[in-house]
Amino acid sequence: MRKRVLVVDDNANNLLLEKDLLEVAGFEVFEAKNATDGIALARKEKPDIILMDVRLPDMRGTEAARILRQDKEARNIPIIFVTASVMAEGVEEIKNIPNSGFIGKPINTRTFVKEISQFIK
Amino acid sequence: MKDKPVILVVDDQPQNIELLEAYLVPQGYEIVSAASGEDALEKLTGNQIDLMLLDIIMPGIDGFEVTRRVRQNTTYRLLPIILITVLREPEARVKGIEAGCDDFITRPLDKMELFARVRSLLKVKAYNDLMSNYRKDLESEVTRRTEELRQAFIFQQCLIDALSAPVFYKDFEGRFEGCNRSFEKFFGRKRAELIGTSVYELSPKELDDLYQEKDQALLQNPGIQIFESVVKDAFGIIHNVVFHKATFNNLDGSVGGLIGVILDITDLKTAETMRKELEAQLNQAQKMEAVGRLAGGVAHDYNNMLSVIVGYSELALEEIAIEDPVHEYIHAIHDAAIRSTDITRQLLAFARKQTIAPVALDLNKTVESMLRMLSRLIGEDIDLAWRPGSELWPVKMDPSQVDQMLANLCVNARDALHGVGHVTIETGTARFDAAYCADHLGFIPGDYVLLAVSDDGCGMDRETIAKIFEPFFTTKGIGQGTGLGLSTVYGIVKQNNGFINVYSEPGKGTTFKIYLARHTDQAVEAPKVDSLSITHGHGETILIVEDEVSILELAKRILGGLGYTVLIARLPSQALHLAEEYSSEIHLLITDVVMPEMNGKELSNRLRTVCPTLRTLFMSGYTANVIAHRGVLDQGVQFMQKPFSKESMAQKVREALES
Repeated sequence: MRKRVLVVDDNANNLLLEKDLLEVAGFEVFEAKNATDGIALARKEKPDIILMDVRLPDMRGTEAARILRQDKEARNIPIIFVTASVMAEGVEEIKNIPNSGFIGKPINTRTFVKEISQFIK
Repeated sequence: MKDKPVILVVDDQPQNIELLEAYLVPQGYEIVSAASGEDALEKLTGNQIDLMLLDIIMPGIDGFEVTRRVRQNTTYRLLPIILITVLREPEARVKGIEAGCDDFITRPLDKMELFARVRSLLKVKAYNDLMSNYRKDLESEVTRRTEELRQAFIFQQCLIDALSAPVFYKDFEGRFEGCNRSFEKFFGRKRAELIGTSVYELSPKELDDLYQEKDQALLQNPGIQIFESVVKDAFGIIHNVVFHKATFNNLDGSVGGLIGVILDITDLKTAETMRKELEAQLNQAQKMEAVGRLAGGVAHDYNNMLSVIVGYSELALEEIAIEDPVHEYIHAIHDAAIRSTDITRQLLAFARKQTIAPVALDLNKTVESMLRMLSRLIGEDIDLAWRPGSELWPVKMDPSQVDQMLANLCVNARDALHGVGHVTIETGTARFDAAYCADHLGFIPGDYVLLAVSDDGCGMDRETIAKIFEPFFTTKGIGQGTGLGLSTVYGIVKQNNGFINVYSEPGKGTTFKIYLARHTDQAVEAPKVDSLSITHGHGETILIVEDEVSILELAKRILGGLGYTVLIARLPSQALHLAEEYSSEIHLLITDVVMPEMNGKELSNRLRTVCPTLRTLFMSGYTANVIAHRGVLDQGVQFMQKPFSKESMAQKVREALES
């Protein structure tokens, strides 16, 4: 079974890069450009993992994560925040969300997929 | 770029606007006026407003609402807004701050206060603009770098995917970070399953630990690591491989992980093994060739000596009465010499120096004619089976050589059986293609007739098989074998451009397979040799030329005794001289082939200019190239093998004279 990943990012370049990296490694990739679409796709496809930008046009990624954690079916999907905000405040915001992690921007194309895989296992 | 800051003044009272205009224009500001909240929001677009002076109480939407709407617009989120109010109540100020305004000013206006507040907020606006420009630059830089990153990644992946060898890379902990397509294909593993794991699971389980140890060793001592090993592919096939691994560094110079390339050297290994086998085969063939040459040379000299011993003992036997005890002694000498003759004959056969007269043969008929003799040879306790192949092709060889081969092989089979068992003689046909011959040194593509002799006896191990064709190698007890039997077979097969294969296993038995080239002309039956009877001469003159004096003397005595006139010469020059001097006809020249001054054939040609009717009988311990090609006699050439007996000499001389 191919691993399934949902990528939520409003920046087209980031989205494309992450998608390329994951697809080359053999993942099936779903994409969303805002939190609302992301939440809907997560409920529908139930991916193995969700990659979420923190700054999204309609709400903060952490807010979307809190909504998903309330969802009966999507609550156990690991959520990885891909963010440049490595300030203490940002990390605190993520820490409170169960089963989550974060990868700092700019991403390392060599190690990115490995880091994602670690979260799935 | 505009040269003056633009201030939007919003008030429903024109005189208020005029007043502000009167204050601010002289200070170098440009004024845009709006008479209502709605008007203000409209004028924001397209006027590059730097600051807004906003009256609170207006018909329609008031100043608080305008502030709220401006703040909601992402473009004007940071536009400085000063609310102008007559009220001094703190509630208005709280409401204004909540709506998002930056500052307040109260009527009646204090001119200096107005200027100060406007200046200070324009300064904030200028900083904000600067920040926003920085951010825009930064964002476009990030976009560009992300694109570059993506491009570099795509290129890198295409690059390693283009390589035919499996490639992988791992992090500092030895966990897979990626691999190329041929790695996926070779091991039947998807990147997604592999990435992040540290196990290889690519090889027999016990090697997994070794590979992880190797990884750690390399990561501890960064550099290059090359080693040979084996891996199991997706189909479970084990491959010989070379791992080429090297560490790579992070930007800070620390070790980031390792990259590995797996080179499949299975074909190389196989080729090397095959090359070694062929080399061994070639060495063996060369050794046999050298031993053969040596044996041939020795046999030649022995034949000369044996001729003398056989000849003189025959002459002596004629002179001595049978009752005389010396007769018995000389008879023993004669018998021993004849047996020795047999040994040199076998040596010559091995050395391929045996003179033969090949004819087209049907092997089935030749073997059948020998069966009775062969079954006597192996004894009645051993079952001899004969399985002739149907529609056998003819071969061209001397039938006596078939006899020699079969006799030797059957004797060996008998000895391997230790009394009881089965010997099978088979014939058949075989065709070798180029591919088969490429793997079997010495085999030439074509059609062959197979002659196989098998036994179910004790068999041989590999070491013995490697030596069986060497002359004087024997597994039999002292006095039981000469070690020449299989050497003879080998020599005969080679002389006839054939091949021989041995299949044997200890305890299972042995099969010899002899392949003889197919002959394309029709087969004839092996001629029956008439029994010899001494034929006498009728006074014909025979000239004998031989540099070995004892043989010369012997021949003279034998032929003289048979009624011929005999002339002898030790050297060709003497012979030529003698022929010129001699008054009557010389009927026959008997000459050695290899002599000083000139060879036998040359001498024969020279003499024929003097005596055109002269016939020639060549004699030799083995054939030389002058009268035979590769030991095969030219048509019409008369030849006598040394050593010769009285009978055989008498017979050959008669044949030569009557031909």
